[in-house]
Amino acid sequence: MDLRHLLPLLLVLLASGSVAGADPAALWSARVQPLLDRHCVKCHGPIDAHGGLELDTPAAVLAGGDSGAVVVAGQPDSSPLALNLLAGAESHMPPDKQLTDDEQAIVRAWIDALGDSPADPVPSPTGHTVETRAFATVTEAIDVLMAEAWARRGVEPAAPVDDASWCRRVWLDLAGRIPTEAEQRDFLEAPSDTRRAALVDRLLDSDDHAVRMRELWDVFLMGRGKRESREERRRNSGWWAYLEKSFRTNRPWDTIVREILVARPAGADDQGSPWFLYERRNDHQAIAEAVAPLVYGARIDCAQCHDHPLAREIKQGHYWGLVAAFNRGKNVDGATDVAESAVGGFVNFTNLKKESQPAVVTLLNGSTVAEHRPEDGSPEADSDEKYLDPAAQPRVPKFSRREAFAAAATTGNPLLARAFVNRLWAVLLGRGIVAPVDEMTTRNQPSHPELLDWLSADFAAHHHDIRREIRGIVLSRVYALGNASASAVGSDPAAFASAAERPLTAEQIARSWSIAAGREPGNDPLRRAAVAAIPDVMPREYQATFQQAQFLSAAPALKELLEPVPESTVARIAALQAPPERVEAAFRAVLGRAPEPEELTQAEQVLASRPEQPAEAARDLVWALLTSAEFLTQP
Amino acid sequence: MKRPAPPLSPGDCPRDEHRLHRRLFLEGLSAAGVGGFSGLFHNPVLAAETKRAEKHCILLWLCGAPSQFETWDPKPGRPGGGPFGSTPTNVPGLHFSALMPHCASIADKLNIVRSMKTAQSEHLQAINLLQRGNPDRAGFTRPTLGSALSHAVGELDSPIPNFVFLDPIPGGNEFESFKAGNWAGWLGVEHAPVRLGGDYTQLLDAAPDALGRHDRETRETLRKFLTSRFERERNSSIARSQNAAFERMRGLAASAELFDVERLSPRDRERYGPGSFAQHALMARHLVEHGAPFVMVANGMNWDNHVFQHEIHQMLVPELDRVLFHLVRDLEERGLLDSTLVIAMGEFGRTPWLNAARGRDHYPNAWSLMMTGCGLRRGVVVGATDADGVDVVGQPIDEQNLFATIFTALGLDPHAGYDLPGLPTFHLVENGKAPISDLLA
Repeated sequence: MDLRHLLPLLLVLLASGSVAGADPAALWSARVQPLLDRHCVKCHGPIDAHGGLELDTPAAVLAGGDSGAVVVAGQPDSSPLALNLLAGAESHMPPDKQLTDDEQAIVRAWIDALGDSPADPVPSPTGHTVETRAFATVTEAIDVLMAEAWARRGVEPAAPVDDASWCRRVWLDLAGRIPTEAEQRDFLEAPSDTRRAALVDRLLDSDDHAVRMRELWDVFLMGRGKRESREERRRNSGWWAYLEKSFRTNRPWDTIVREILVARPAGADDQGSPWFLYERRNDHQAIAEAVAPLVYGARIDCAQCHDHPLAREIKQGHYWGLVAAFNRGKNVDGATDVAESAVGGFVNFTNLKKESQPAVVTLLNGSTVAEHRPEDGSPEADSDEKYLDPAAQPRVPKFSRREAFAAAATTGNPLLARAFVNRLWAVLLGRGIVAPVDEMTTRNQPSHPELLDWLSADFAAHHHDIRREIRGIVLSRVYALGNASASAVGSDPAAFASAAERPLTAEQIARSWSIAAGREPGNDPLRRAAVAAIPDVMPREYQATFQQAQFLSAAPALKELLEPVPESTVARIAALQAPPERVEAAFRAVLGRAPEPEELTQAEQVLASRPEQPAEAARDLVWALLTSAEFLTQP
Repeated sequence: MKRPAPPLSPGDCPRDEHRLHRRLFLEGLSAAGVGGFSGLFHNPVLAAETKRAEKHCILLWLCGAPSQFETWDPKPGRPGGGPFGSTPTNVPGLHFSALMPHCASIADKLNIVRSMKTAQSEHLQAINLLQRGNPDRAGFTRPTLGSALSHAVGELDSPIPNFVFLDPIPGGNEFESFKAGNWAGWLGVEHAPVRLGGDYTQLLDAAPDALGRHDRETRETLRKFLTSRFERERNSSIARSQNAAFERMRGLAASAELFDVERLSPRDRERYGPGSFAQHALMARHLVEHGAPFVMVANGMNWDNHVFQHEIHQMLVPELDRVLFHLVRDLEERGLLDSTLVIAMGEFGRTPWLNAARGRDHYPNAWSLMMTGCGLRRGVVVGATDADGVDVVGQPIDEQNLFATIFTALGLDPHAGYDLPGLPTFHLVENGKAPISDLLA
């Protein structure tokens, strides 16, 4: 939850004091839990419980510690939890810090609120019943459950965007580019009751879509390559081709994950699948850290040195178990293959208390992969008979840890579907149902738990069909919402009551610029320059860098794009006579809409500044439109 | 108005304990946010007026790693000593490589650390280590030296960026990856370097071209109008961030002449030498004269001579020698050496033996660097290596000792904590590591 947006709620609650209406569950989630997490849980939580006291859940707080209860419901002045925070308290907490008056007030408000409704201290954001309901389609499920959620929160969703904007949005999301003016016109002229589904189906089937999906998932799985040579290798190894083929043939997601974890391609087309492991250059910890968000939806990097300090279900054993699943692997020189030994890879790990344990291939759901462990730590001898075909290059062990892990992670692991659905939702809606997207822990509540549960179960039950899922989301009402009006500032983004801001990726920008400028597609120098200047895909915090401003201002590839060659937008506009005509043509070509009156005035001034050089003036106008925030953001 | 140095939080103990929660970390990030300095300065910066930043640092980043045997710690006559021999300096008993006669004549103004011993032998990790001054902690990106100094001693609303990075080479193998990475870490993009040099300066439109300033202004006015309108209508933080980035650029464009090599004095340019590295070192001096707090000069990753070590070092070292000679003397002449820290280093050293290709490979086990200027004594040699340079004799110095020395020399408390809400407690230098006391003035 975003704290800033809940401040108005909190102020109202605090002002109402202990009069009925203060909800301890809401207070806990919004203010108390983050406060305790930050200042107290290190010593009073899953890793350490000083004085037998844990403070990471309401139940734990209420259970108290070795010296008894720390909270008396409704009476902060009798509650050690509040009293010990006071300056000069005898058993002052935290030991080396003093919480501010405001911070202490939060704790007191919560204890107060407990006095009013002690029965439900555990946060239950939606109060929904647990049984799963039946819906005919993904879209129906989303529409119904979102509507219920809006009603429960008492929010009014924004009005939907107009058809032209919807069309542009879908083209960008599914095909990775804006539609041409003709394509937009075709959509608007098609029969209105069928055109949306028809467009979605057509785009999902296109090659552009496969490329778009590869662009996204290459970055999600591998990170943005920081060097030109890395991009070359991802292409040359067949990794990009593998991903594109997978998306083009709508390969089920669980199959894709299994293939990249096992890294033993069956056919020539899939030669690139080992690249997921291969690029990590035998750094087994890096592999483990990349696999966790994929199969669990959660980063477990912190579990390298100790159990997760907040999410109790993530233990150090899971981290090292994941490392063990892959540490028999070794890159083959000169080929994109990852060999695997039949022996070895038995490691121990130590926690902060220096206690040592053996790493066992363990999954988050508790299941472990059974394997023979050599006694007394002596190394097991390798031999040909441990391999399926000893002469094969590379040879495959009869028992393959990573195959065993991949099988366990892709069957009977509901987190696999949940992680994918959540990420897909985040791509299309600008924010996951669990946010941040790679923190699906028990600590991080989904904003719409019933919806996420339903979507995940449904995705898994329908062969992890990616295309079906995208279609379901994109045809929903929430996807089509417009933006919040300026007056709706302060509404909680987790409510999805309006469209979230989504910056375009560099590839979307480059392709869309070519179209808007009326130039040939496939301009690779432009794409490369854009990727170098604007590398982020779905950044958590959008920050336009100096490099980005430099790129937009003066990149040679962009300057070239604006040359008034025949048929280009700039040339076309320059050839028109009346300034208003030119401005209108420019807006339509670039932003897909007509200019507002004050925009028209400003734009005409730009044209008027160089009356004797219409091409240069047109170029300036088009430049300003191409680099405007509107163009660079998803509509 | 000067930014305060990061305050020491009472009771902070530099133990290896932390609370990790990504959400809190991110909240910390959003609090830091995009401030950005507003480019309200339209007057060109005048040398006499602006010495706003009181302390400065010039880092000559010799990426790829120079050989200590061909620079500061020669071993003439030893099997791996190489062909160049040594030269006496104007400090009795101290010798440099014979490739450095100029620096030898001002050795009493320099300080050499010969006992560097660090743990990373691969470029990407070592560059990361020597740029950030502390080992990585998973999940957090520590700011680089330039970003940390931009934050600690830089000026708000300065027309000169607080962190200038001059490197004309887009590539540089692992250095290229580093350059594309996150320099400013938890301090946020306003402390990221402004990259200039070579084609990067052209992106500033500093050089006059067919597009006059008037026209650039016109189209930028329209872009800004459209984006501001969008920002208002949608309460768009994307638009806000974009406008802030453009403002930074405009602010920079106002002092564009400072980044134009052609505008440097021809005599100075001739003295320093013709290569990019030399010209940018001169530009660094010039920027410091105009108040720049931190300038880093690099030339791709050109020092990594696994092959043709002697041939290439024979070209690179004399250039470095000449550049340092003029840079240090110029700063001293202008009364700036006592307020400017000058560091020349790579990310490790090179092997005391030659490989099969008659080159030297990576060697973090015992290596050298040069640092002088602000807050330091002069003419000191810290530590020593054995007869062949295989190991450090006596107390080794690591990257944390080095950074503690740098911060102390610039008047900062190296063990001060960063004040960033929501993050675990981080200090400029962790583990209470001490500066090199022999060097401190």
